Amino acid sequence: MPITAEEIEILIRESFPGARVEVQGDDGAHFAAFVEDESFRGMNRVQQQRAVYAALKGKMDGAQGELHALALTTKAPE
Amino acid sequence: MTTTIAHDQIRDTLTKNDVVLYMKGTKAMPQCGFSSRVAGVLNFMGVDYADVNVLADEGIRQAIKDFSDWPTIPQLYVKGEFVGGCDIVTEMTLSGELDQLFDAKGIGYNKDAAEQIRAANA
Repeated sequence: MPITAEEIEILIRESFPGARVEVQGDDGAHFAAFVEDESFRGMNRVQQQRAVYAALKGKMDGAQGELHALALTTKAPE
Repeated sequence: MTTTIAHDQIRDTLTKNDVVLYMKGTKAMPQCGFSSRVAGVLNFMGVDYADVNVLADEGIRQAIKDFSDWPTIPQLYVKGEFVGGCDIVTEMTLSGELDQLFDAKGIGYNKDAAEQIRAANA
């Protein structure tokens, strides 16, 4: 089932209510997301991106994962 | 293949090779744009690395995700440590952090090539 950028944004916001979130992509499979959240402070990039993947609740997983490609940029606010 | 055997196999690969890229396809013929980008950086920088094609082994494909707690491919490992996926490796290449990591871990690479990548993406 294809997913939309809006749905991805909603999932990310559920886990990061105060974050600045931008999701782009309209082909149902390839997306780019930017997430800036205070909770990322002190985390390295792997930890930050793991946290975002966790918010997406397995949608990245497996050959049948709805989300084939998500380019991810994460950071703590400057 | 059971999970334990797959994990043992991964640990074995990571022990025997300083730099390992779990990817879709091979370094000579990547089969996904994200894998292609990371393999391309390592190839261009002249890094000696082992490529593992997860498309050729469904057990490893799933096991490597559990191993690193990371849901996507490619995955780059240096000296047994998970470095990141495509976005992280790209950012680190452009910021020079990948050079620093290779320097710190004693991994050989072509510094000029790394500078060329940065110049081309500046």
